[in-house]
Amino acid sequence: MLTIVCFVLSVFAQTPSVETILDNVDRNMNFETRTAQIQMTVTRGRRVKVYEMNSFARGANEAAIEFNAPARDRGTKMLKRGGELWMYMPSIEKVQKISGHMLRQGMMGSDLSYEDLMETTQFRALYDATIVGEEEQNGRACWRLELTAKSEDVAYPRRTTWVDKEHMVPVHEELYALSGMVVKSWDLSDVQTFGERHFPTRMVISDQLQTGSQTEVLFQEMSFSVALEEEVFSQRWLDR
Amino acid sequence: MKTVFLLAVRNTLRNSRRSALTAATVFFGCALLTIGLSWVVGIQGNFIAASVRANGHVRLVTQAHADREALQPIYENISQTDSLVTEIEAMDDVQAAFPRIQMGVMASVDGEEVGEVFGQIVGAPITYFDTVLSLEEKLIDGRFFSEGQAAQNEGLIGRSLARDMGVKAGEEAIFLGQTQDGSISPIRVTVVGVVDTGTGLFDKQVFVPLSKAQWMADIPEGAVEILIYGSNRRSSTRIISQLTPRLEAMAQRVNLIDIEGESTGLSISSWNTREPFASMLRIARIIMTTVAIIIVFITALGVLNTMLMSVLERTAEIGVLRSMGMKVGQVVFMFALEAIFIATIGGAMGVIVGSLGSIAMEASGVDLGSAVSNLPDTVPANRVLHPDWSPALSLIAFALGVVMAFIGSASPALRAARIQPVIAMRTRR
Repeated sequence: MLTIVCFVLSVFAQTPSVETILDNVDRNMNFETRTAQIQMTVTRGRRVKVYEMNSFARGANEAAIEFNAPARDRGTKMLKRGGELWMYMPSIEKVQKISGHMLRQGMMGSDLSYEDLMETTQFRALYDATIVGEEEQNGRACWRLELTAKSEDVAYPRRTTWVDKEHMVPVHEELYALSGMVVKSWDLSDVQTFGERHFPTRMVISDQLQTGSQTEVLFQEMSFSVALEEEVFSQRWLDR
Repeated sequence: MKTVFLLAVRNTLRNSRRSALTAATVFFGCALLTIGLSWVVGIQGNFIAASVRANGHVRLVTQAHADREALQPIYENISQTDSLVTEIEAMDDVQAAFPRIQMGVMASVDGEEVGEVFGQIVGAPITYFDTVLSLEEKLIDGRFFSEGQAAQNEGLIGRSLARDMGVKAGEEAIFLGQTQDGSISPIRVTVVGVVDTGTGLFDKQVFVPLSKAQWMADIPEGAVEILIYGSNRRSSTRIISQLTPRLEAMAQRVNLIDIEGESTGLSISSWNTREPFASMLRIARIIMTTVAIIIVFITALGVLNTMLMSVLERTAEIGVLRSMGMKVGQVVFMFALEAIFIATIGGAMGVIVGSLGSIAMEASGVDLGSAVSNLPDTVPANRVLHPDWSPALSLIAFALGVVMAFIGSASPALRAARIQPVIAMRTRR
């Protein structure tokens, strides 16, 4: 009898609350500041394009990206500040605000939309969640969570997220449109440890509405909690 | 027979007021028919001319592009066009072939916010803008493209788009489009001229050298389509029959692959088989036939009315003629001849007046104004519509006028022929 009680208690002890899981995921995926060199490979059927960029981020609401390759896009910059996204296009030496329907287009033709770029990964704040099971996903033992948006302001009203039990980061996500259709899937892998933080350094995004389309994002030389110049997140930096 | 002929002539002149009424009916019928047919042919011709100008007598695209035509997918493109254009231009019946890229863009004057004005960019060899679209003749401000490389960053802009953007010749404009991969792609263009093409579609376009559009779409050596022009639009059938056996080899040579990575072929289509023009042509034919039938019917009713009056008036006379040995066929022929005499005079006058009216309207045209600008971008409708009169149309209208009279007189003539001579002679008429 004692053995059974101990077993039941141990199982409950191993199942954290959904809030705890979300807090852990948020702690891993969010940061004060981060810099990274990113390689983004966009595959659309026959065409493969490789982009290289420097990324700077501060908190959930400020991010800046500068493209280094390919040659055609070298010097292109993007600045996310608050709820707005700006893009500097070197070929016309002009800053353009990305808004309206443009936000739903793929960033540089990738499966990652500008809207995705605007989205924060603060699950706890944005979604109500329930644990719907424990499953193995991408070779990792995971909690399967169903997340429902608390407000209409988020890009995806519903998402199913598989959270790695060990690293407490998402390893697979299915993102739904309002109609209930899966519109995107994310696979996150190659988790690296940065101090106490675990962070997936490889993400593969597939737009389910486009056949043969896939975007791989590789984070290279990533650093967290680094000092960043204030100017990086200003309009001045865009057309500097 | 001579007697019947003379009787018909006499009857024509006998009741001049009734004959004039019949002639007037045919006159209005023929005049209306001439004008109506001129308009239908004119409107159809305007659409055809604009369609051919915009899309070539024959158009070559990838099969994958043809399958997704409605989406205007620039990612389904012909990655190398030079060798194909050279081969096509060497073919009999082909006068010219032009690679072209078209896509929707957001437009603004340099220095202003992009995002309010939408237009369409057209990238093609400058000879296409010159010889096919005749843009130099349609300049209302500024000048045509410079010679050679100097034209690289120049553009001509349609009247409506220029107005919406608030851009003038000599100013710089920004156009925000997409690469074939879907990435935002901007270009800066010096607007050297503003053109008034008279066509709603072209007036919302900006015309740039092919190389500029190739950069914007990131198709460095290719285009979305190749437009092929023969000596006239009837040559499209011959061009297609020559080109069809070569398509497979052409597709293999440029290694065509669709967006999903699958091998794709080339697709050719004649100007009159592509939508929406194929449907428009069918509709125009239906309208033309309906107009003709309605006018013929109304006119025939008028003729029937007056001829019936004539038969009723002459019942006793017909009885006498029949009793004197005139056969049923001769009576029918006599009335038909009378109707045809009247129709010939009324129809000829009607056709003359209708032709003069059509020719006058052909010169002035009817300006549809802003109504045309609301048409979809795929419909190149001219802003000013003209009827298209031709002697053949007048002949058709005249022949139909005579047919109207014949149809209108048939029933009264048969009625007259069926009258029993004895009964007819008893009547007071």
